Amino acid sequence: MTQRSEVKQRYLETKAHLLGWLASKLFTYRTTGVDGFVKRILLPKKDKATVEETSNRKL
Amino acid sequence: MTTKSGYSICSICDIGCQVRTESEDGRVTRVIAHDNPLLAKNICFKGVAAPSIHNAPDRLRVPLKRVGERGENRWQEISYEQAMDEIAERLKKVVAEYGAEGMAVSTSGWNTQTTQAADRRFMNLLGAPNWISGVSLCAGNTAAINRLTYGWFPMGDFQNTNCIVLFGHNPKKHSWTPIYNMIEAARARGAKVIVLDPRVSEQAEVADVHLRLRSGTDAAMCLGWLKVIFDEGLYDKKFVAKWCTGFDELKARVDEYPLERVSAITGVDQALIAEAARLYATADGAIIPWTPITDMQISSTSAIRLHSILRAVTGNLDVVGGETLGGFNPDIISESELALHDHLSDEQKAKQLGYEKHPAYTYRVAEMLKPPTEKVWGYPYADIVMGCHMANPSEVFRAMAHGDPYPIKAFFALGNNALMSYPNQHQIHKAMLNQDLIVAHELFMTPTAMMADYVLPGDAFSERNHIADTWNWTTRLGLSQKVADAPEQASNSYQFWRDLAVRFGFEEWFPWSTHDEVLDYRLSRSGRSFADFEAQGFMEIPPAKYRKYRKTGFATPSGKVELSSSVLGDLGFDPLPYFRPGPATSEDFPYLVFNGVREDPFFQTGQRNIKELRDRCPVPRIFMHPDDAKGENLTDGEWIELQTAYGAVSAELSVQPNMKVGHLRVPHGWWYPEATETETLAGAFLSSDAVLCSDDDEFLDREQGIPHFKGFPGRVVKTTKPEAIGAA
Repeated sequence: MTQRSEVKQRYLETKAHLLGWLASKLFTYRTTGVDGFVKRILLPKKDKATVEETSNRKL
Repeated sequence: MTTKSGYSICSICDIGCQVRTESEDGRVTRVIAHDNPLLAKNICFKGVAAPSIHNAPDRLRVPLKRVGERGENRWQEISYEQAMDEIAERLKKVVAEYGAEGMAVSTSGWNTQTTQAADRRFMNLLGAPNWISGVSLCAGNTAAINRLTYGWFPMGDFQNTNCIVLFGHNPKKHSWTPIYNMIEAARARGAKVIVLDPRVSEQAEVADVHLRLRSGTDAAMCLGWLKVIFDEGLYDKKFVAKWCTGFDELKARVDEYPLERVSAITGVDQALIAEAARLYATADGAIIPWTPITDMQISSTSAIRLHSILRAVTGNLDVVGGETLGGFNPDIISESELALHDHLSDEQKAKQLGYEKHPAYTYRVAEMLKPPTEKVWGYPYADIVMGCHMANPSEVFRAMAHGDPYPIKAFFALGNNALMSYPNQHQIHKAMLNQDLIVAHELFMTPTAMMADYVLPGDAFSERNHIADTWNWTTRLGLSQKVADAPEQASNSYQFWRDLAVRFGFEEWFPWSTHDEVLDYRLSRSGRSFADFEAQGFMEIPPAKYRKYRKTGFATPSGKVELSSSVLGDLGFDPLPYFRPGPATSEDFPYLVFNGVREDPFFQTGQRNIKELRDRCPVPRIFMHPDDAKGENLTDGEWIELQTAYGAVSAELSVQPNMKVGHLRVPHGWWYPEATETETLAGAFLSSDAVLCSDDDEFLDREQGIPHFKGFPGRVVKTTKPEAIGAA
């Protein structure tokens, strides 16, 4: 953290803003237009967790 | 057949996973993973079991009125209207005789979810300051203490961080699941993980650095990290110079903790302490996510403050990859506003129990922080995680039991098994026996509900609309839709408080006659209704804003990060963090015990009656190292009793090599619904960790007045398993 310059801070903040905006588009219901395009391009293939498969070992 | 499906916020535990819920003819049939791939893994077996919970045959469906002795569990079914009329009349009598401070409320927002601050609103209109909650031991107190240093409670930026520090916290696939998934994702892209835990937990097994510290020594460890960071110049000097106060005083305090001393206290090798401190301080973005472990120690205030201080001095505060200060979401009216805290007079606020002796999360500190909070965040009261305006639970139960310093004679427990959720269970029991009125609002009969005069059935998450706002911890809003029908005589917790308020003549202050109307009101700030919100999506996350303090300063009296806390100083406490040891082991009690630990199939004291969850963990188990077990001549699977100077719990022994020698781990919140007919209060006193700890002042954190659950002396002896105990 102590190595970050002001330029790097601003770069990271801008990048985070952009990704945040994209994320907000992914949480809508729209499947058309820009939102739908973003979803089709960016979202990974649906990969549901199966609950039994994710069972913890003995506590 | 009518089928429905919708988006839900699961409220089986406190993490609030976003899932999908399906129903047929008004009964929930299935809870499945979210259909958005980014959220699909946020589901656990508790959530999947929701249909079994919501449709359970033993679920409370009708209001009950006590007909036997208190705690005898004999009831008469009555209507909701009759119950509310009688509760109101009896509460009015208590208030007339003892004042509004003669009522206390204990609640868990995680369980009730839909209160919308109506409890505080009613209490503030009435003049009642004594509201308590389990968040006094878990997240709520952390929020309050964080405010002392920089004015808000931050959330870690898991998506961008390069280092995650877990102080005893052990998120797993079925416990704090979204946190677990975020840690896994961070680890997959190269983030380092540091775990501090006496036990080789699941997170510790895969950590980059694991410090096996002695239970209850978090504050000393943090002071050791700061010693390394200051001595080696690994702190953000510009930020400290411009935005922090009290650095020189803090540095002098830290110099009192050379690594030799820290190593002696924590039991961790000096070189390993230094390695972890360097890894944290030099990571390009590091987080110390909230942990319930640090929340429950005799030096909790100092340890929480030290987490805050580490974030600040290493430059990880309100930056990408660090921990961000969210503030209020501007699109929704906050519960802080709904609560009407300004309505409660200064005189009544000063009567809040804890105000004098342990004020850190009471109105006393909240009032001190009003001006900077309003300046920076736009509203003077910030109920973050509901934890910033609470009474002290131990003082409340003392007042209920002994009338000291004044009597409390009416007790309301909503979604909260209070008898088993706070320390000194025998005092809580005595407190309940000394009440004129106890009201419980629950999904199921619990030991606390058995002590009530009235038990009202609550609703479940599949049966209501809701917008989850994470209680201001983050600015995220999540959608939860009603897909099933609640039992006809059930009420959500907003409805309960509203209906009580109307009976007290406060109807004009509760113009929203239903919970759905409150949601519309809250969203009116952004010109929307719940229907509008529902039509747009299932989650909203306003864009993060970083380094906001450059424009506003911090919401502290000085406007800066207070490494030396002016609030604590003004209250007569040490303004600097320190380590205070917990009670020492002895020949009679040779082990360090840590309790308050929850098991994956359950949330706190709940769900022991749900077979598919109970089958995963049929009995409570105490963990012990093989060397200790051998020394005690005990074998795995035996039934043992753990004894402290204050009480005893019995449970099955689980011999585990991953335990630290000399330590015992006790699970939280065990009782036995199957033993309702045979054991007092369904076995509430057999295996409850709430009996183990004292809440005498010498064992409490000074500033908050919370107990030391992490590292107190105990011993074990063989015993026999009570016959009535078995799987649900």
